[in-house]
Amino acid sequence: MANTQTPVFRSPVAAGSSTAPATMGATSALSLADETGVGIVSVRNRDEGSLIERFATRFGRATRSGNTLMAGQRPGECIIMGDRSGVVGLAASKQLAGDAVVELTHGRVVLRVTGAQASSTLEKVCSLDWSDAMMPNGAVTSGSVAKVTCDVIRDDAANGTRSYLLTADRSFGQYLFDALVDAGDEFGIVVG
Amino acid sequence: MLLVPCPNCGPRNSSDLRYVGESHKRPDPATTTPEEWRTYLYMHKNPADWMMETWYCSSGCRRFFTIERHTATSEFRNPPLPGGKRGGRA
Amino acid sequence: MPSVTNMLRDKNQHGQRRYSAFGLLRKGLSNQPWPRVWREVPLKDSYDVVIIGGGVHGLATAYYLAVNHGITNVAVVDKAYLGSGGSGRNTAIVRSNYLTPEGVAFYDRSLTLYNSMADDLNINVMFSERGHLTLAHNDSSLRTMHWRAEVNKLQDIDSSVIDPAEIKKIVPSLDVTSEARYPILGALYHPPGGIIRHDAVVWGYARAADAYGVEMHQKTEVLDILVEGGEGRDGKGAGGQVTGVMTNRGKISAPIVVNCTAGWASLISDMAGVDLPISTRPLQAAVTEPVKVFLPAVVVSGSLHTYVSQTDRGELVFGAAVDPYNNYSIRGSLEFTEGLAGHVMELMPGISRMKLLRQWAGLCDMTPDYSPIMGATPVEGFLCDVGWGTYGFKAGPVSGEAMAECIATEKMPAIIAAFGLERFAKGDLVGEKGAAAVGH
Repeated sequence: MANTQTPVFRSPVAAGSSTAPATMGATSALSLADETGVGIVSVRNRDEGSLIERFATRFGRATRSGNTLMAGQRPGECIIMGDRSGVVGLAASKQLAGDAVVELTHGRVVLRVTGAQASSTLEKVCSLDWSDAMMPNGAVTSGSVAKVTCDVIRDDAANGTRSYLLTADRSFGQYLFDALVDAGDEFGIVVG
Repeated sequence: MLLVPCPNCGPRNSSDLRYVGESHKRPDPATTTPEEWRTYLYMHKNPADWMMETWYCSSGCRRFFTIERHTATSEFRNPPLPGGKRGGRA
Repeated sequence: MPSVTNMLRDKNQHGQRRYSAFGLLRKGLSNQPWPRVWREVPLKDSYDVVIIGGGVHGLATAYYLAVNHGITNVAVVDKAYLGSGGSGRNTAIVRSNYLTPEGVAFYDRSLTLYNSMADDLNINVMFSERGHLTLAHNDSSLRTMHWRAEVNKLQDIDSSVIDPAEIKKIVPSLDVTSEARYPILGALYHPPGGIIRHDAVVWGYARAADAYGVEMHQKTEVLDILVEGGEGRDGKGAGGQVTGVMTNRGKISAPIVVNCTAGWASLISDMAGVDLPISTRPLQAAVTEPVKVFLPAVVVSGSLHTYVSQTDRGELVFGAAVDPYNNYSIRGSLEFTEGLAGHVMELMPGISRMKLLRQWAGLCDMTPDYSPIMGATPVEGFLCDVGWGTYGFKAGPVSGEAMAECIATEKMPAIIAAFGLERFAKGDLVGEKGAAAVGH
């Protein structure tokens, strides 16, 4: 059955829900952006080696090529993020027998915390070690952020500004957003 | 907070993991008797000593792993290797 | 009603001085020292019954063995002091609004015994029947409350579901607004529930048992249980017969040994070669500085894993759920304090400036179905009264009574028939979801 309708991915974070000032573009020392709707595909395979070979990444590391981010999120699981049709196509083109490929775009909220104070903000609500030694650019981990289980990717901006991508179940989206705005308040967090 | 050495994620707060309990060898469901199965389900050694137990890294790598912990001091020893080679149910 | 002559009579029938208001006045005026509450006698090398564990359960068993069955050649041994374990660490709540018919019948009998305890034991146990509220924060727990209320009513227990307005009338300090993170939708109200002074219960049983000739031996640690003829290592295990115990003060011979411990039940049973389906977990509690009395009832929230009551001194006593992993350590943890503070403030925002004075932990022996393990074991003469999880204290009197009957008649009394160890092998579990460890 052909379905010609293009799905729309709405964010669980309500627009204008924050008291933090909004800016266009991340010029502040600390900003929070809602990137929900970016395509997410999970590829799982018991053979870790085959994933490493195909997606040029391993558990705990992410590699970026253009707009596409490939992250070894868990042992035997690779997360591909980027333009939706692009990542779905990429996963399909590299699919092998034994893969479990699931698109997660509809089920996840994606928030990006950018700026020099990003790690200081996240340290307040998460017990992970956010230092550069433990989490350099390209590091991938997961843990509880403000008591919500999040997948975390350190994905610095092209100009080298510190930036973290947080992905969680979408029903926690608004809460997580509010918790991060609250934590970033003392550092002058802006939304956008 | 108890720090649990996850073989994949490193030391993590115990609140980030789920405690599964004492590790037992599961009898083969195809050949076991109901009595054996219930013994496997319910009976525990519950020592005040080193004990092999299972944890589930629910907020991290989402893997089960077994590790030895002292139930009086909560020290850990003999963590499995990354990938859960020793006794892991991955 | 005791007559005036009785009240003035100096000693009871066992030669023990009675406690009375008159006696208190006389001691106060004459400034004489009080006599020891129980005797310290030399340890004999043989008894009819040895009870391991000098808490409410062990002492009540000894007391009812003597009173109801005339068995007085009994020793209660404890590795520390009487009431040093769960009996002195619980939050002193008693109630009978459990969920299973077995549980309800059992705790109702216990509550009856607690009610008449001050008279029976001639000691002021300060039982305060102040009412017990179990809050429901969501539809499913409200449904469970209704279920529990109906099970309770069927057994003539005073228990009903009340709405937030009535809750507010009983406990004005609770936040019953719909703005709360966990709004209070209703509560299971159980007027006969209340609190009691747990130390006095322990001392009362010890003193009364002592009057009948039962011996209490403190600092007497059981190192091994002597079993002959069993199929396990050293003749222990199934099919064996108990001959006594080895303690740090020497060997004691006894044909009957009763395990009345909490926290160490698995280790003691292992000495006899008996495996139990128990996991030991600490349950933490805390107490605040004393303030004026403002909390008239016991308040419990299953969703927030918290229960709170105010003592006669004005301190708030908080308890929580068991810790998330097995542990024999009774040290408190910071995450407990943090979680507790958050949960209590959620219920009663008005107490945010109160200070915690101290926190502690007690060991709970958790069974797979949250029900206790009582009666005979595969080893002849070795009996268990263990696995009480989070609610052993409130069951103390009735389990003592039942265990005494079990020992004297060598049959399981009907009231505890469902709680035998063999139920796990038969798959015949008694799920008690009314226990404090279970969040609803």
